[in-house]
Amino acid sequence: MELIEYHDVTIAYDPKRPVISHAELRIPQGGITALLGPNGSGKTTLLSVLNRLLRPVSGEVFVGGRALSAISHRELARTIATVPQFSAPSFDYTVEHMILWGRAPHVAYLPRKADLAVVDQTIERMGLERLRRRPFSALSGGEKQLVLIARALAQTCPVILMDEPTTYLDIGNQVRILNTIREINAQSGTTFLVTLHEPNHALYLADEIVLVHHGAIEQGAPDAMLTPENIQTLYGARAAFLDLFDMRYMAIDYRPQ
Amino acid sequence: MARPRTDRARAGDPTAPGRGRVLVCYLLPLPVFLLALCVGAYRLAPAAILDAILQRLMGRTIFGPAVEPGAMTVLLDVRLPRVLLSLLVGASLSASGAAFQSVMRNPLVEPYTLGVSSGAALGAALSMAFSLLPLQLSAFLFASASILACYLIAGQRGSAPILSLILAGIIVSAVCTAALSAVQLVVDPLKLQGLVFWTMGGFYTTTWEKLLSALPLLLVGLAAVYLLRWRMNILSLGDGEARMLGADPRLLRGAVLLSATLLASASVSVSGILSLVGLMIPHICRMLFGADHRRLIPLSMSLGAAYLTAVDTLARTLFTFEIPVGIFTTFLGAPFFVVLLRKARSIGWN
Repeated sequence: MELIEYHDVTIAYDPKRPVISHAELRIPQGGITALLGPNGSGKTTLLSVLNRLLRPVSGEVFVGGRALSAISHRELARTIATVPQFSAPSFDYTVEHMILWGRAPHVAYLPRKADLAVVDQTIERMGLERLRRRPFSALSGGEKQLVLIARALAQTCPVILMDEPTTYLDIGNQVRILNTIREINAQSGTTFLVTLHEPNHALYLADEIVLVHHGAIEQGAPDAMLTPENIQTLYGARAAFLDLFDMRYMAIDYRPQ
Repeated sequence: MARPRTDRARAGDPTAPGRGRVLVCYLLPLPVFLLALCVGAYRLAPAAILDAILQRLMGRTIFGPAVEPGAMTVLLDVRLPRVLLSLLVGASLSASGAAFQSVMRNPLVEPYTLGVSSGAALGAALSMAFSLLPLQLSAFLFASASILACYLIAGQRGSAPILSLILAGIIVSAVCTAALSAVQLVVDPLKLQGLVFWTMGGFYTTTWEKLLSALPLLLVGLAAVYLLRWRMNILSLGDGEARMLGADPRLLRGAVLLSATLLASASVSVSGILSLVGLMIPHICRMLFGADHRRLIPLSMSLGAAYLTAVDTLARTLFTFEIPVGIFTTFLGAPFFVVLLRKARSIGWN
């Protein structure tokens, strides 16, 4: 049994035009799975049924062998943590507060000492001590992304979902976030499901690739999925692959074809 | 880049230097309460207050001779219920304001944004004009109905966008105000005067009966808002993130709104319209102690109680005649709101 399974899942905002039709997906435990596809292909939609922002029209999603529809909100949030692309709280919460909110699914009435200890450990692990008492709203984009990852870590879930964690970051922050994901995965065996726009990020990170195209999905190993043919089909761009920096590296030909 | 104005107290950490401030804020209602009992047209020493209470309860005094009956009546039947009610209503309006702000994710709303005040005024007017329902009950029902109406107007498939809600509040207020004018047209001029005075807001008609009639509703509302304070943090992040963190935003929002509505409606039904208390107090608390609702809610209650009682005491002692306290709260709150609005614009809040 895989950790997460999609069985014949169809997702639609408008019932006549499904965004994802009859998807089959198996996410192995302890790996990093990257979801790639053009804008509007349904990557984010595919993930939104997992944290229940959307309900599938038909089919069923299983988490740890149990049907998603049979799991309570709270229990689900103890299994799957989500790192949103943005968070813009209306109030001036500090970094420490934002990370503490990650304990919410474990808190019955008020957070206890154990919860505060998890927050302390997370802050230390992510190297955020310096930012601890800063208002979240005053941070840079990269720092905010790190804090949101820290919040997901404080949630202590076996699975973390990330929606385009690198899209709006500069190169330095991209490197930092990618390595943070790899480190957490190596240290704690956390399963990651990450939507990405940059195939090179997927080549660096992922054990498994899911391509999403026109509501259909295809899953496989990075070498089999990320090929010049597939890049041409997905994005209509010409790509070449080379060996660079101890990895397979993709380059794009930007000239008009 | 870091903003330099960050200080440790904003973090809401118990070890932060804000601790002394927190203590002062929690203790503040006590001296205000005592002072409010002492001063007024009939001035009493603190010892006489204790004596009067002892004499009523146990039939004897400790600090001085027996308190004269006139003083007993002023203190125990007029001033004490009034001061207690102003403490309660101050705490309730502030807690209600903080709760509305967390639900609507907007630090500039207050209980009256959703038409509570004009709804209550209409309810009170109908009661005075036609005596169908007792005044307080009628004001309470119409205030609650106004908020409900806002939700029905703005609601779309179970969620109500904030901007639509605020616009719905304007519409509901306008309709209630028009209906109020219509009632005023037909009502007996003598009753009209009472109505005008009622809408100005105040505690001059407080009796023990009035206090006790609102007490259960206010206590239930205060307890509910207090118990929900941690979850308001999660709710204030928005529906999507609240769901990611395992909360059921619709259920939670319903519970917070219900408690906040109860507080606002019950308050307005006993005190008339006291605007901007629910906006000003939570905001001052946020500036002093940080945005974490675990602290914000109890501190807002405490500061709100002290503030409204102090203002009410001023309203009845400043001049030889009494000024409705609603006039004071609005004059004190309005400049505050203006500053807040300008600041909110400059930090790009929307």
